[in-house]
Amino acid sequence: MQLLGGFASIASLETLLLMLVGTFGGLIIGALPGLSAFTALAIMLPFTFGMNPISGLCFLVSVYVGGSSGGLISAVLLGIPGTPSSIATCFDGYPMAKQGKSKTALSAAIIASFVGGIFGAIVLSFIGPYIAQFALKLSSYDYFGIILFALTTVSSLAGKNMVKGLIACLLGVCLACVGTDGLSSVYRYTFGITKLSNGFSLVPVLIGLFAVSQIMATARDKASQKSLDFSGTNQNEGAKFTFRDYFKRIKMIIPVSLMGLLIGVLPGLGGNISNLMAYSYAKKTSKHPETFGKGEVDGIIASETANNATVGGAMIILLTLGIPGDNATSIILAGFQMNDIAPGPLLFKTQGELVYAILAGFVVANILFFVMEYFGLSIFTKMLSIPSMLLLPIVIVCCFVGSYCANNNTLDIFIMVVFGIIGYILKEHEFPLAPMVVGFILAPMLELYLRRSLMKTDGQWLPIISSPIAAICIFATIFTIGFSIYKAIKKPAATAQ
Amino acid sequence: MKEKRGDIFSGIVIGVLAVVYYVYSFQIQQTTSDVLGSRFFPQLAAILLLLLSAILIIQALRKKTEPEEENTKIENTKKINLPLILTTVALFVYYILVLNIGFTITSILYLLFECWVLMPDNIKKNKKMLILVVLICVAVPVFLNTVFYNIFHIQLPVGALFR
Repeated sequence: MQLLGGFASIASLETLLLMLVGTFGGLIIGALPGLSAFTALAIMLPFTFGMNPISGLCFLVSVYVGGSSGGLISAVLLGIPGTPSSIATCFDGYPMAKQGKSKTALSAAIIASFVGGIFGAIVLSFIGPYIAQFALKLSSYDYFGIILFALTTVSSLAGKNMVKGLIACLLGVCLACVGTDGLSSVYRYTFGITKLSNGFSLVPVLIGLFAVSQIMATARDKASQKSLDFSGTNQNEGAKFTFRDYFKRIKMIIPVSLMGLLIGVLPGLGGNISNLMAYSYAKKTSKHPETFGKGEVDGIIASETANNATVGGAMIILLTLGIPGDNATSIILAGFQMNDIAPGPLLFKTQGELVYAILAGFVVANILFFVMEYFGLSIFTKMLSIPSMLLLPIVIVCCFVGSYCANNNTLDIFIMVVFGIIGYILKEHEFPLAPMVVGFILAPMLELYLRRSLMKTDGQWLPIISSPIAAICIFATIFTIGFSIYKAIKKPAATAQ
Repeated sequence: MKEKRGDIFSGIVIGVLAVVYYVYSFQIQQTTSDVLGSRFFPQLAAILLLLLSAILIIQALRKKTEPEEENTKIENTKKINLPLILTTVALFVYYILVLNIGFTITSILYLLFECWVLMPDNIKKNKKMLILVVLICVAVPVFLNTVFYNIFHIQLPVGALFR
């Protein structure tokens, strides 16, 4: 019922038009190889400054949905995933395109994306309020434990080396300490610069680390860039895949959707992993696993259903707990912050209209992308011939605008450039950037809940562990970190022998 | 081997940064409103960072050494990546010029320069494409400035010279 109210909130020409533009823009940018949903969000973020919160956030959600599903076009036609969450789509999509079944592959991928996205949106609408209610009952001990565990999972799963993931996360924590201490109003690491008294803003840090570092990496790789090869693929070949064909595979679709959703809920995992896990599940349970990798439509369906269901899962955890799972959800969080709204369990109570408008926007964005992609496929395939490296300078200009507009402060532009260079250096040394951003975002909350917990217990640490949720999370964190460090030190020694 | 050297180097740099961060934490005014105070969290982060940087170095030192190290070193030092250097310098110049001559003019110049740096050679020979790129480079900043000024009522930096 409240969801219907959400639909009513977004039923204005302005919001719907913005969502249309957002989905379209997200689709185009997501389709270009090398550019992801995050890049689309970084370009679009500055435009939300002049919008009201409902329109602005629905616009960002549309960009996110469009960007996440746009990747399938280049995955099928070029064999290059537009976004990392479409990697598994390439495995069978590209062989199908080469066999002259590109229309079948693309329509199957689009239907799978749509159903996965809608499934995520519906589950989010029904489960979200219950998770928020449950989250309201959690104590500061539990929050401390949950955030600590979220930071550990992001750090352990974002890169190949967990030690580097944890270092990146702690660098984010250290950066978050700059500014005024939330509990005692004391300045920390501001070195007398008054503009730093509120700490580093999220927008310049986020877009610097991801977008500016990306243009530097593109410049570095310029020599090795090849022109895109469309030879052998034509988007108008093969029979169109229908919903009936899709739902014939319901036995595979249900577990794959749930898998995608659950992976989305866990911070640090996201679409990058869910599409690969869903693909391997579909292959293992298939009656004809030998056809996978050679042009099996089930492989495309599993990958695209799961990665779009993940978007719903990631949104659940962002809206109910205020924990972003990856860089794309971090930028949506920045969108909330720009409107002085903090996502978390209270959001469902205090900003119910906004929450349900976002949920309705999420459903509408999925319908919009489906209609656009299913019926206007030829337009998007033509866009693939735009060299993405030419779009990157425009991304940088939009990032300059975004950084400046966040606080009308030119120092933020400088901070963005500096963080871009830091991000590039870290990436060069294989430090994952997502833990750094998540560490930066969650550190103030982690510190606040820890200090509040200890205020309650008069400095005693034991009562914190007496809460079962906190205890499970803290022990899981200790176990994960301990085990990975042991493995990290042991493994190289084993290979050396 | 390149990775091993890189890990040792980054471990040392991060370790040093952690020590500096810890030392500077003593400049933070100590508060007594709660048990931990305002210094505890940064100090804890610095200590953990130092520990992890030590683990990273140990991990790298225990990695197997491969013999072709010297050749790759020579190859790496020989190559200077011009597009990367130009892109990095352009970002700083863009920032400085935005402060002085404003957003629109600087952005046009930046877009023209950066597109030229990143443009594949086959496009540089295509006149039609070049004209299109120039048009886009001019249109985007003008469009952004118009939208922000007239619709969102946000004044993008005009630059010290035009104030």
